Amino acid sequence: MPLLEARDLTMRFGGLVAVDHVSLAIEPLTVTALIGPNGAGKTTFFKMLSGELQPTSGEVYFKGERITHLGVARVAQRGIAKSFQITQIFPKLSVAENVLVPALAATRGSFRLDAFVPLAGARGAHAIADRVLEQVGLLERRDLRASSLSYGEKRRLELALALATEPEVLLLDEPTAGMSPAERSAMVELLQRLRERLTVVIVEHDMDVVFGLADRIVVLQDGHQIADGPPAEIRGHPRVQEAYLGGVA
Amino acid sequence: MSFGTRRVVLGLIAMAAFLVLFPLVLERSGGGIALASRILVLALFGLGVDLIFGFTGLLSFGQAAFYGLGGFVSGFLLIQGIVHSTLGALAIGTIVAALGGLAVGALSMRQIGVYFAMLTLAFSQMFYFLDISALRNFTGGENGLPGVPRAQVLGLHFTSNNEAYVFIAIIYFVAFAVMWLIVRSSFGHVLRAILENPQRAAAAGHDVFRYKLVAFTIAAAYAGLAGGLLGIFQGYLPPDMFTVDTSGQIIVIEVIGGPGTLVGPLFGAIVYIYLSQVLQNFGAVAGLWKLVLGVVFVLLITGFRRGIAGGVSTFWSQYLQRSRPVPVGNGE
Repeated sequence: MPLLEARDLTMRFGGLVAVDHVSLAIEPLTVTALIGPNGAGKTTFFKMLSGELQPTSGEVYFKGERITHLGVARVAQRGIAKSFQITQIFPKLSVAENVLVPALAATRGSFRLDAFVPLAGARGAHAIADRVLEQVGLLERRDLRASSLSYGEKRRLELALALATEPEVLLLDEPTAGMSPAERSAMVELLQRLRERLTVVIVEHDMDVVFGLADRIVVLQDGHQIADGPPAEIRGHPRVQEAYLGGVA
Repeated sequence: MSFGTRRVVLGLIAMAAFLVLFPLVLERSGGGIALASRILVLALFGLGVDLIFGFTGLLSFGQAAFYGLGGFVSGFLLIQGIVHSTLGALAIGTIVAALGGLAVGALSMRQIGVYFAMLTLAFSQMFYFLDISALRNFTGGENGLPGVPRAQVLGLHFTSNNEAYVFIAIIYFVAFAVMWLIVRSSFGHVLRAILENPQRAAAAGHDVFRYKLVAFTIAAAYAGLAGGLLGIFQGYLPPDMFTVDTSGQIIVIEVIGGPGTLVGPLFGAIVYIYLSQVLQNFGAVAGLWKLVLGVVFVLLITGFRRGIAGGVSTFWSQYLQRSRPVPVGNGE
């Protein structure tokens, strides 16, 4: 049984069909890359997987259960986390306080009225926060205000916010966008470590990153799925070369 | 004792000291102890507003509804002799106000920003009309409710103005400490996350709607408690407790005082009430007192980004930095 499955997902915005009958089954502990030109529907497809958008038609299944209409918070509680394309942090909180937010969701569930229990005593959440900050290399930055981090550090904090929900599936929306080559290779190295215990779905424009990480590549164009296969096969796929790779690869 | 705990203990000691000295200072500067009581009632009302606005980011224009509801329920029970215990009547008024908050919140919270604010305003107008027309046999309509007895707890009578202040100050102190606990809790941390970035808080797995609803309910409880205290201290419940003007006043107090600081509403209430009082008795400008007050508010809001409390804390941290020895040769 696949871990995460999209069945016949369609998303219409008025007259525009952003995603058109796309199905995809993700096996556990694999890395699947979603590529395609701008406007292909990758981000919309992601938002339906994460519960941010409700599809016009079609269903999303996680471990065999339908999660299509649960909404983003309950999908996150089930174990699917997303790192956003545009950094979505808590700018005025410190780095540690940022990561505590998802860590508290992981330890306390979607709601708990523990209004008289000090945050300082939430040991489980602090342990998760420290571990995740260590993983992404922000432990020494823990007491800085998130808004004062460099761009590359903010991207790592963005990833940390997803990781601290303790997910089984990690959805990464362009994790290396706008990064310097050094920052990018550090991020790829980090993702290589994460794939050993997480199922990853990644939207990415950098082909070195895609071909370096993915077990499987799915190509979208104008909301349609035009190819699906292992990297070697995709590299030689004539329609993909024409639509996206522009004959470079 | 950890650093955090020590800070709380020192903070509470400072607050207790302030509550003791405050009426003495106020008396010397031309206000009476009754003015001090009035300020604390609004500061208590403002603690709830700070929780929803300063810590969660919800702007409500309807807080007067819960202030009036708590006031009239506890006042009515005491006047009619249905409940004899002051604390019992205050507790019932607070609970009824909280339930009112829960209902209004549940109906308004699906909307955000200005739409949420407009819905809270509409609901509070509904409460106002219930007060002055439909329920006027209970509320006294436009005449209000006179004859609320002063506080009595465990055989102690808080009859004089000085005693009434002591009663209000004790309740304010406890309510302040409780609110401090709330904002320092894991629950409070999620509220701060919602203030900063509600979408991300939801994506992290928090049920944002329920957190906001509970915060709104707590704020309504604080408003109701403050309303009950006003009745007990004044001996009279005016119908204008329910008006938009009251809702606006408490927002001004919150904003000039400093949102997200807990002490902000206290500072805001001091400035608001003291200035209104002084200006109204100040010969030349007496007729223009609201205009002068308005100018002062504009100056305070443009001058301090996070209200008076924010201004004080910025000044304090700069002072601390200046007085600390500068480390040599270890620049960043």
